[in-house]
Amino acid sequence: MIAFRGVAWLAVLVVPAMLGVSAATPQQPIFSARVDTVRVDVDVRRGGRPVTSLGAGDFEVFDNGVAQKVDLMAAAAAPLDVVIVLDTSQSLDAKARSHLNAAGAAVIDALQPGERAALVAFSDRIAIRSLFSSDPTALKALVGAPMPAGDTAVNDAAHAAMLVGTAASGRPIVILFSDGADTTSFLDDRAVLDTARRTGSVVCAVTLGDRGGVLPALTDLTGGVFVKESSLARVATRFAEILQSFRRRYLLSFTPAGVAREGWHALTVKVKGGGEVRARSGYWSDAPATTR
Amino acid sequence: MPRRTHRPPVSALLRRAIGVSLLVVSLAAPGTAGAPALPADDDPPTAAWKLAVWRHIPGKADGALQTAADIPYWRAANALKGKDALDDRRFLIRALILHTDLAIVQRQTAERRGTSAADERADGGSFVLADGHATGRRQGSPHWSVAMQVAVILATWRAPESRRNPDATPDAETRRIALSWFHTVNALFLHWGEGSLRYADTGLLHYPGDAVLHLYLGTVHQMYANGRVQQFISASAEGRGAANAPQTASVELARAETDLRRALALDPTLAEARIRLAHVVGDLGRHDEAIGLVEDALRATLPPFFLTYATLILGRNQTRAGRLDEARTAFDRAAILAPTAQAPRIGRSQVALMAGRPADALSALTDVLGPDRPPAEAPAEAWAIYFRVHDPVATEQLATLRSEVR
Repeated sequence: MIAFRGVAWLAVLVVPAMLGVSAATPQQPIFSARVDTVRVDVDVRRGGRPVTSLGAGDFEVFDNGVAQKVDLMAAAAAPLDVVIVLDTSQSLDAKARSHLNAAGAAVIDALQPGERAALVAFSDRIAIRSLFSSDPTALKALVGAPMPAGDTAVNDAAHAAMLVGTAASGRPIVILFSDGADTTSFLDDRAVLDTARRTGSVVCAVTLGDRGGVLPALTDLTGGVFVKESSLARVATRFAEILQSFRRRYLLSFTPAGVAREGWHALTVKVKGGGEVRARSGYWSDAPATTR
Repeated sequence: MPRRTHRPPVSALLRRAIGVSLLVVSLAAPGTAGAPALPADDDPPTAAWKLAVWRHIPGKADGALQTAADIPYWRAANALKGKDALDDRRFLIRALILHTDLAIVQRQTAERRGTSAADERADGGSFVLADGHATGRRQGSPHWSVAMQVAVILATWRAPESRRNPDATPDAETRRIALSWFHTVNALFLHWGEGSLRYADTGLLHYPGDAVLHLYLGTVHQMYANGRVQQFISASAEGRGAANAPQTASVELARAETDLRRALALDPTLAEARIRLAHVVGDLGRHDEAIGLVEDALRATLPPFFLTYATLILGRNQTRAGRLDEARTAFDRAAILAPTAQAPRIGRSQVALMAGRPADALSALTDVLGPDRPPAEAPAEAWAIYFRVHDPVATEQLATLRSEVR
């Protein structure tokens, strides 16, 4: 197992493991020597039921088609850092918003010791209400804070949430609700997917009806789930199910070998003996960061 | 675009005018794409209507306006066919303003009440959209049609004494006022977030070489390509089935490109058309072309709104073209122009992320959108309302039009 010290946790980004360097500011590392480690958050099911008894040897991971040596990490080593993203657009009335606020509060209540949450609200305006915090009282007070109604800038909100996720020290997860497809963002679908490739969050989305816009592709790319719901009253349940599912996921890590460092790395994760595997479809690796 | 440098604060006007964002997509109902047939009128033009035309003070909700409102619109429309009305240029210009003011007042009243502007069915009606969802139907005031009827008369008006000469051309000054009406009404509808093709289409029948009408027509198609309209169209069979219904985003963008190119061919100095064309071309994936267009536009002196809008388009396309240093400069400039605006921050964060600096990407957002930064009361910023603003702004154009009544 590679030692991780003072490094921001990125679910599947290239994570610089520092050797002989004291803890640095998470997002502005300066390295004298480095080993890149990739972490992958994986959900495995058979017949729709989660499989929870696998070991590292049960997984096969291919980075740009090249098989990698995989380690399995203990979940306790990487607590969840959840970014809750709630739609406050004008198409949601007061009752609908109360359901959403309850869903957000339920996620906060369900956090376990060591886990944290951040909060983003959006209409056509984005409000990062809280970066990661382990104070549930403060977080819950912000869930229902006033927000101007407007159109739906879900692309911009997803971008903001994934950036908030880059400040995670644990496993960054975005749990997002929107009642419809994007209507007004500055970023188009392609830009949001690019953000997903360059950041490490697993994005899970719950929407009303079929109007998901980029969200199905976004959740698929990041290894999350896309849930179509018909009732706002059940959003809290869906959020809870999503959160619970992450406690049954596997955390794989590997040090890329036999592949070029920079650029897009397509990932393939397989389970020996078969199963439905959900993991992000790749990761982006930038040039060495010594001069950034 | 007129080359003036001083402008009233557009954002303040729009913040009041727009409030919660609504769009209205005007459609001709199936089978009623043309002008509606007017009832036969055996009653001669009423003296009360004529008196109202002469007495109305432009821009005032006065008694004359109320008198005109009490007369069925089709009676006024029929009265406009009378020889005595047609011969009097001053009367026609006053009638144009009266029915325009009446239509505006009826629209405001209907908006307050959440009802249609009139019971009479003068057009195919409109869908009122909130965040891409249809929240109702609305009939426009029939007095828009009456006013447009007057505008068409004025566009071809000749003095009675010249009518015997078949070679005489329409009176240029009168024709200019009619064109001003077509400009103003197109700008007003876009300012209100109402997409209607009929005023630009009708105007172009009489002024095919007018660059500004092509600009407005292109802007309506640009608006139709917007996500708010597209969400409605994709979800609504009713919307798709209507005549003049917006088409897919790619079709609408292609139409917008055609109209905006015509506008520029007719008037290469029309910077607004160049900026909108850059936006459209960028959305069609031709980023280098978009950059060239918007860089040309930025060489002109632009009012603040269009300067911000153009700078955002520049940064957006430079980002897509991978020209990150230039894009960062553009977004920094946009952030200075609009310090609380969201779009420049989103753009900066995207550029920082693509450059491998996620911490900078996050701080670019939190500087304006982060904790302890209360969201602005309304997002009246360039990116949210780009199709609603023209130069001169619609309300200025309306004031100028009203001043034609002397």
